[in-house]
Amino acid sequence: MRFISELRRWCGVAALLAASVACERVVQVTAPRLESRLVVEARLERQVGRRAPIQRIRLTTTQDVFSRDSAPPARGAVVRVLDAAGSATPFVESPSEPGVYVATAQMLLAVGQTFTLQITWDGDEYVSRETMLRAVPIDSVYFTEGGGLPGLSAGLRGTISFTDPGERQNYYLWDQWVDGVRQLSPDSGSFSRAVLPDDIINGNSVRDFQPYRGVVVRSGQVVRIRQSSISDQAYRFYESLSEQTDNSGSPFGVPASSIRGNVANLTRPTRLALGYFIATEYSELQRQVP
Amino acid sequence: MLRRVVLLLACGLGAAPILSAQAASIAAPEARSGTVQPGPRLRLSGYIRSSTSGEVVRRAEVRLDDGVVRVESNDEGFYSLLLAPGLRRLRIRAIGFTPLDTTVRVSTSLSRDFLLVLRKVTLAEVTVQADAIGDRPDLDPRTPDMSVVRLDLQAIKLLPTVLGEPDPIRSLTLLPGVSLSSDASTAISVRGGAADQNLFLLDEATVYNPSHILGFLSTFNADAVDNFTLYKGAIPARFGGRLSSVVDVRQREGNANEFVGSASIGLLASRATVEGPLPGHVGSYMIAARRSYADLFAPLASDTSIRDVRAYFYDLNAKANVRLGSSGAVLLSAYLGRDRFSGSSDFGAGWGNRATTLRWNQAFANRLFSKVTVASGTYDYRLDIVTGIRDSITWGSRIRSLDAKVDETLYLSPTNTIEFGLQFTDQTIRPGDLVPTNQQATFVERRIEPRHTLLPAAYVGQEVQLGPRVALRYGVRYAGFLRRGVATIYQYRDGAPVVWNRALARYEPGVVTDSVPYARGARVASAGGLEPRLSGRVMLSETSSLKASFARTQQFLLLVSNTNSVSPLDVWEPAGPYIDPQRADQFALGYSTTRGSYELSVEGYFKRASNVVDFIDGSDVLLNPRIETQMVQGSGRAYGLEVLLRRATGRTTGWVSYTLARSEQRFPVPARSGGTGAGGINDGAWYPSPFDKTHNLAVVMLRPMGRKWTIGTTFLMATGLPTTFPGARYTIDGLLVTEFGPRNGGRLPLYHRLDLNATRQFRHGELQLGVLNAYNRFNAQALRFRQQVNDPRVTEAVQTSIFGIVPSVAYAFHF
Repeated sequence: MRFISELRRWCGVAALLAASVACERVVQVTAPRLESRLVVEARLERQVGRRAPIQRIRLTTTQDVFSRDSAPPARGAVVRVLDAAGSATPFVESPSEPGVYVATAQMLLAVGQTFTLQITWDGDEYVSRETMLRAVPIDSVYFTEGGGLPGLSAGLRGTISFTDPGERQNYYLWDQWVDGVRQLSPDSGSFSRAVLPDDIINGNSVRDFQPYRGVVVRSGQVVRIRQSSISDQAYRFYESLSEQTDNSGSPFGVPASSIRGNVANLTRPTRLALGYFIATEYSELQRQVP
Repeated sequence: MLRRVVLLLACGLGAAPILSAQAASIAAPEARSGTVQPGPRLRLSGYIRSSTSGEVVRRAEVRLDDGVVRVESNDEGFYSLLLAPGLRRLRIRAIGFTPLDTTVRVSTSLSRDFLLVLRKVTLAEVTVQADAIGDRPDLDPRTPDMSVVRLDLQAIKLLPTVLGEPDPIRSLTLLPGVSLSSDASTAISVRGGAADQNLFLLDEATVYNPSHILGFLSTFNADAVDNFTLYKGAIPARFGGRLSSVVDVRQREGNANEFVGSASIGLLASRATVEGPLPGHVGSYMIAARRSYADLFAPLASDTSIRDVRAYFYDLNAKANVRLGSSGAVLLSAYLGRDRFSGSSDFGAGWGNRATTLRWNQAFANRLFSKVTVASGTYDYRLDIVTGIRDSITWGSRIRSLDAKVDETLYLSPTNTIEFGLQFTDQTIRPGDLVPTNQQATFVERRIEPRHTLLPAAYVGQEVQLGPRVALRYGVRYAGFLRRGVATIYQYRDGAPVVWNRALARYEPGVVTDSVPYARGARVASAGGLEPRLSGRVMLSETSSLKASFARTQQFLLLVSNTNSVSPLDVWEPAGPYIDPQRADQFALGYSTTRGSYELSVEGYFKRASNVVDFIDGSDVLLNPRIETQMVQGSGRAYGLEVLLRRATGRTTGWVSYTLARSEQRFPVPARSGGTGAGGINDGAWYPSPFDKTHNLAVVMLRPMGRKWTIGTTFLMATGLPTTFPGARYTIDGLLVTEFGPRNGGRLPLYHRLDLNATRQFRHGELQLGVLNAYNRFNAQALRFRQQVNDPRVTEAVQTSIFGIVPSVAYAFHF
């Protein structure tokens, strides 16, 4: 939960205040090497009211913890997505982008439909299923002052308003671009992924919500915010991702743990795939900072 | 009063040795034979008190000169002896007091108080526990006690402190079997147990979260308490409710003779204590207060995020003791402690404990000591958070218990004592209420249903000496548990609140199929069982003994905490339909001996526990109404060897404490959750618990330097705590994500630290100068992995340490 994450950060500040000489340092550690695994980034998505674009799926593999290389692509996979009727859409590897698999046809992504991802790679067969959820429209994008959290500077933040439908369960994932650059911060002081569960805002009108509170925007910049509806298991995945990447190492951080996605290895269950397969409809608005 | 003054003068001004010499000739035949002479016996009973303040002296040894008849004053200072008529010589010993040898002419059964002179802790003769031949050693080989630690609160004030604030709980960790989970926390692990497996009693009221500053300092003001006893095994039958230990803390009763006070100013906090006789000299009172003032310096910080922070804590301790004649007393004890923390206008938090006790102590017929106690303990927190531009919430939680107890001790003879009692606890937990405070709130109100429990208990025990060599203390406790309505209990598919998804290798919350409401008072779940306790000793010689013990304990309450360290936001959860009570059996074997000024204690223990708790990966425990979906229960085991070598006399005193230990747990997937022998945390195999330390060494030394200074040093060295190491990394959405290896499969680096303290005594006070972590060792408390900001392709490992070198200064004065 987002404000719980904020609270943990407050606790971290308090702990540092209590021990004002606390410090951290970068160290060399010898980490055990785990067997290489498939990593799936499969996000079928469509903007509300528009036709779905050609879908792309990225497959990579795990690598050494302290590697200085980019993620190794998982090449030569056989990838396809089946809709609820069993109709398959093959994905083929892009010749220009190794590990990126592009749909060979435009998919009809209907809300409520369940999709099945099938991957065959390195002799193993992987599968995952996900149902596309209806997007909740963003009512407006505007800009308000942030602040309040320790370490956050003053300045405008991208701000949205929307109304959560009370009759159904839906979880939220937000993405934000500033001048076309996606805002993903590896800095543990900022939220890497903005997510929110349904039950704490269910049916409410949400005003003045800043999904990326840590990102200050300046006059003239163009801010685009995407609001995606995701399933509860996708929410747990992103929440865990945030907890891991936001972990400040304070005594009140959660213990380190691996993140489990929703892609199963049917051939060798113990060699499970990492990453996720989600299907989402999203609402998106953009506006220039005045 | 006149009698006490005469007695004091007789003992303190040198009359006692003369009388002792006369008495020795009478008692000598008994001492030689090691038997008690037949004939009529008369009872001598009363209280052991401090001559300075009139306060009771707990756990003092009263020994007849024959060397065989020996009793201890109880926790209220009461003793009871059976003696043959005639002139009897008594030796009375208590930690921190000058030995008293006196004689009593016994012609009828009588009640008599003895006054002990407080040993002044002068710089030339600093004591740790006992400093003269004849003093009572703490590691007394003659008692059946084992696995018990009693802190000398005067001595710990001479040891290095954190920012000038003596902390009894941190001092406990200088002794074998006790360790901290973090430098930032006073949450202790006793013999490998979890932090929530320790019961903290302040004058018999439960203190649920005994910490300030997010755990940095304990709630126990060293000026306000006079007894700090840790039972880490062989827990007496009168205690129960936690798996690993009991910390029995007693507040001071106050000076019954005159009004006195003291105050202390330190870098972290200031303290003040006043005490004196109640009007009409019917008793005494004590009031102590403490407040931190880091918030006063926050505006000076260069970091704006710290500059706006307001953080402080305070404590209030109070106790009144009204004597009822010579054999009884009524005591009212109260504690209030609170932390406040806020930053700018967006965040405010407060949390704290309240504990109140009303107790009636009465000795009947000089042989039955009765205690009737009503106590309440409360812990609560409340947060006010601005969650958005126009959104704010309050979030609160509370646990409260009300205890009623009757404890009886029947002194049949000096070698035969029976204890029995009844306890009844009514407990209510409000796990969390989240309430929006603005009209057009983003967040919906969420109130987690309160939990109501009743905990009845009864016990009976006996301490008996079987001849001069063997002593036994045994007993049995029945502990019951009833969870009752109002409650809503969810039903899960296959009865599994948490399910192991084998295909995805993860735990998932079970699927709710229904919910069952329970009316007020209706039985939701119940449990209970007998807890046998046994400890005994065999004297191998006059100064050494072999001891053994067994204790079964049960715990019907767990602390829901999945953070690295216990936090103020953790809530308690009772057992219920899906959470089974935790149970543990502990066996211990020990050897204890004294050789001149040295005391040695060696203890080995083995502990096995069932239904211990760990949380699933990615668990979401805050404000979760179905906490059973976020945790699993399994088995625990711990074993170790503890060595304590203490030098109690001489210019240099102190001790060496060493623990070699192992603490492990395992959580195979239950069958109802889809278990097939594999899967679960670390595939259901045994792995180190978060508190496992293989080696733990503490060296403590006190030494006077000249007539004005005392130097106190502590050196600590321990194996690093278990941590989870990464085995690989991968990229999601451009973020580097860590894939971890087995849980607790690695370790933090070796921990070691040297702390120094120098105390300079003045006529009415002491100045303390200290240095924590004198050689500025970087002791890692956490290891994490992050993505470099400048080069996002690179993962770096980062260790966090809490203490660098920390100087401190404090001044205490008396008036």
